[in-house]
Amino acid sequence: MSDRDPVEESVGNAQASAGEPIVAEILDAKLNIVNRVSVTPGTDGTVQAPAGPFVVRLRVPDADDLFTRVDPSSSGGGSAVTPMDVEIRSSHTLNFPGGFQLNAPVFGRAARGAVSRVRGAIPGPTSPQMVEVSIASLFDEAALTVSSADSDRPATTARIALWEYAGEWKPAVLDALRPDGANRLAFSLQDRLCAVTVAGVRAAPFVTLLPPGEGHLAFDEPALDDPAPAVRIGLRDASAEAILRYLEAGATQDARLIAESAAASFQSADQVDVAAAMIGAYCLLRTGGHAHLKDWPEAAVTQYPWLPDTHVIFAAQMLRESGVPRFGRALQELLDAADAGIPIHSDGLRRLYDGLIAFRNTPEASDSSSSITKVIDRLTPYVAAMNRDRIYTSYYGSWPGAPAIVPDHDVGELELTNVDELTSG
Amino acid sequence: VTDIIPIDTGTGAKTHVLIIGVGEYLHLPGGAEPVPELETMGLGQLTSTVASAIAISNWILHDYRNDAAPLASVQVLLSPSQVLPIRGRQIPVDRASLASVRSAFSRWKNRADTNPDNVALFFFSGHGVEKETLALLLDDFGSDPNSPYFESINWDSTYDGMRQCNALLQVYWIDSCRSITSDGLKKWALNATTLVDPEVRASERSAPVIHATATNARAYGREGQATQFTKALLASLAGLGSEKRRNRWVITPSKLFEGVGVAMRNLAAAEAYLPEEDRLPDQKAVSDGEEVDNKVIADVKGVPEVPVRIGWNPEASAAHSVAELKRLARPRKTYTSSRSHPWACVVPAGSYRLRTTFEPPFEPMGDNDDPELLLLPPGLERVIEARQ
Repeated sequence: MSDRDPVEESVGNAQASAGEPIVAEILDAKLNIVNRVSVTPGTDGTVQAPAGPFVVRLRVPDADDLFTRVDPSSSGGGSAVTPMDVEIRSSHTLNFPGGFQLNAPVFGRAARGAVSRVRGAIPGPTSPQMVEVSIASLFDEAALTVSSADSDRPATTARIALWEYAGEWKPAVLDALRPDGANRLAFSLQDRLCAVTVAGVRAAPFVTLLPPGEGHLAFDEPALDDPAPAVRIGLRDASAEAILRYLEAGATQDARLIAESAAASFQSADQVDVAAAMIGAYCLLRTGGHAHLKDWPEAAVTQYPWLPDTHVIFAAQMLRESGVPRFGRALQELLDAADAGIPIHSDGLRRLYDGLIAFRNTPEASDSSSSITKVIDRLTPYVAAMNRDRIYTSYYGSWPGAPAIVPDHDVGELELTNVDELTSG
Repeated sequence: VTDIIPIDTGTGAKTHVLIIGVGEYLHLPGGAEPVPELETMGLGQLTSTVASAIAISNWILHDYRNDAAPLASVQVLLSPSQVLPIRGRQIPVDRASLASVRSAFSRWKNRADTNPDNVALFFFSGHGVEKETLALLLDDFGSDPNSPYFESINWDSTYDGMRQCNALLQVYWIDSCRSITSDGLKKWALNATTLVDPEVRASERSAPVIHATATNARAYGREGQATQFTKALLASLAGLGSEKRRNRWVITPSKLFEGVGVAMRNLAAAEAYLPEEDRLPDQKAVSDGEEVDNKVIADVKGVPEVPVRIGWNPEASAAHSVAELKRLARPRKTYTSSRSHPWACVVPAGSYRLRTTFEPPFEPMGDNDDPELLLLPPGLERVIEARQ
């Protein structure tokens, strides 16, 4: 293999999308981790590597890692005796069944052209279950034809409705949704808090709050043991998607690495995708990187006062300030968040609820304790009903204003013998 | 007695551990003091939870090592109460009632509070019910049917309250269901007991949480054995969840969770070999909590073992093929497949050469010699493609 030849390798079904940043770890010859960096396939970057041979490990969320060994001494340039900068270039192409490619970086020293292999397999997740979506009406509920890849599960129809919050949840016209490929709807929601409800024969009515801006919704049939329809929300911002993938895989520090660079870019951008910025902000709050948010949360509150999450993020940032935190202002932001509606992110709803509980008996709350209690009471059914493992606030219900903890129809129960269930309903 | 080893009060950072395993519920059906008025909601007695707590205790006592924060105290609460053989002595441990848990938790928090570099490790195994909070049910749960959840831990508030503890690494493993009961549905809120009140102050800490299962889902175990989650956790702590730093293999929060995920998938795969009626349902652990940096939870003894699973496509080609995995570092060793699909082995982490040879009528599709394959935790799965 010559040094600069692009290499094509099939790596199975992929969880990573083209253009999404991924985390690379630099390992020394003894396999110690010596550096970690976020890299975006297809773009160039530089990372510090130790002297001598080293290994680059690409951490693809929910998949096997990909390894590249770099040995400067065998790449035509003699041995490296000092730590060096590694240029990350994009000449590897990894083909993914399903039709897209990930341009994986090639690692080596620019002057010497050291290139090694990227090799590995990304095990495949499940294939999409939905193959067709059609909008029946643009002004009422939409009807979805849901076809399953499983021949034992015939096609069914799901109903979709869009809701808008203005003090209470009201029906919204569906022109913000449009078909987008085989199994998706695109949405475009400007300056308003919206939710979508999905219901079907096998899917219990289910509410999902939607991020502002543009993105898409993809619907899968519910799992056999869970009647909640699988509603997946995708944003256009590749970094935000990557952060979510790493968080879902439990790779919290990998997610933070990407969130830090995303925060740096949205500090300087003229136009910020607020939905993507919120994902980065929540990640940084969870991982102690709130300082990277700088002034963005305060600006976001001014620019998007109707978006509850901006208030929650700003409050959370203030509560982590060193010195004398602005407790009074933080409490006011939490109350403003509740006034604006329900946070779009599950993390935001938990932070709002837990924050108000913590504030309830503090001196800062002495003038507003009764209103705090009322807000807590109003939020309690949402917190009780929300699925904590979903990124976006989601719960059973036919109307976003009436969250339900359990679906309104039963699902089959498994008969188990000699088994400890650590609770059962 | 809840302290099962003499407390090390020496200076420097230390590790403090609290382990709770609840299997015997006094007021639920089958318990010693059933409360007829209590809506038992299908909850019953358990055995796997106590087995899990004992398994984690054994790991802590025999295998836990953290050079930066040596083990200093271990408290264990078990229901039913047990006499544990610890370092040549027979140590009786207290039941996991609300009173004893409050007392032990307070001691644990105060000990961990003494040094910011301390490690505070908490394990709970028992019934769990999730509504506006996750309630972790203690052994006297339901003593008063008017407020049955009083004898349970309000997990969310307690977790928030632990922000007041100075230990910058707090590790929480929660082995419980997270579903709701029919009785819980009728209540506005569960009103479980908070063990340390949350305050507004939000200091930074690494406090990774691993839940045994997802929200609204159940966790499982076989009677008398450690639960699936605990088995997976122990496998990850043994090395699946490790990475190498400064020539030490260490367990870190992110890698630990990754290892738990792999171990749970392996356990689920093993279930497929059981008769259908004996199989445990699938279960997926969930990571939660704050994690400001990837601090070290524990050191791994020696080099971790890495599971390798190699399959063939088509499967029939496995009978005409041999895969050889040669360790490149000393001591050199070769692992050879057994002409069956899939081939699974466990090898020390490191660099290997993987070479596959075929006999007619099959031949390799593509490269069948990988001169350097890095096998690091949590392991490798690979499919070797062949054609006729």
